[in-house]
Amino acid sequence: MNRAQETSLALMIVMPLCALIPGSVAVLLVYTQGTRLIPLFMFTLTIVLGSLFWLLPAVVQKIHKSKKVQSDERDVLIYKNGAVAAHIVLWLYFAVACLAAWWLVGPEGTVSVNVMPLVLIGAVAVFLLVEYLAAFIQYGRGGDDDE
Amino acid sequence: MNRTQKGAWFTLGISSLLILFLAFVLRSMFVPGDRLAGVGLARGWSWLVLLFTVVSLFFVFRKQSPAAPTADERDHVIKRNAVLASFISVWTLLAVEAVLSSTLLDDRGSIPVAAVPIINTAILFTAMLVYAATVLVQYGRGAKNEQ
Repeated sequence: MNRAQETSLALMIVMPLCALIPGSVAVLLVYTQGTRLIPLFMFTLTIVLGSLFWLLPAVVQKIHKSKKVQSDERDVLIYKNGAVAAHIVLWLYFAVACLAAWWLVGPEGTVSVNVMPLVLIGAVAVFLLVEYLAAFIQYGRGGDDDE
Repeated sequence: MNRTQKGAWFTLGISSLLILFLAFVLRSMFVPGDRLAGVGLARGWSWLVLLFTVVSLFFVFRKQSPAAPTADERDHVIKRNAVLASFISVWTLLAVEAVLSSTLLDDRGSIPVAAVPIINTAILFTAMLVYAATVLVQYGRGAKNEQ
């Protein structure tokens, strides 16, 4: 396993937890204490960072164009491919979530509005998991180039 | 107008029609007694969508000149940027959906389970709309620079 693969594997475990824990706590705080600034800020931050983190290598590359190389063209391409794969899985996740809700409460049933942000937090976690899993697989395909 | 532009106009048209259709279906779910009243209009709207699809697909796949390339490097860059914009719009819309439902229906509110897939499908069509609009805006910019 090369260094890039190890990083992807670590991020695959850490990043979904980073989305799930503060996101769920924020939703729980809103549910128990009502809408306040801090839980809303936590929720927004989780969604924005979790869902748009894949843009970071491309942005860093653009900023540091003439300076030291932070990530090469291959890294950016790998993360972009990972993001595409993760977005495809994201739609499958939402389809499954809709079907599961339908199956659990029946066609005439209702779901609490608090379920919506929780589903979204779950979506961020699934997205990050698939993104870094795709990066892990793609770095593995490149062989031991990085070693 | 090349195939990418024609495809973008097609996507713009079909996604606008489908968003309007879903908005109508969603509205009929929340207005008491409206569910059956809307069936005729929904059927008519489905025929309109089908007609638009068939006619516009003919124009999209009809080549103006056999020598003209299907897509060049610039088309690929434009498509890539458009995909990026639609991905960002998906996350923004999902976050708005979660926050808006909590704000409009209060913390203890609930929504019909049948509305959830319609909302998510509407988000998918809006992402398609953003993709098409981004493609057309970029081609518009390119045309301005060429003049």
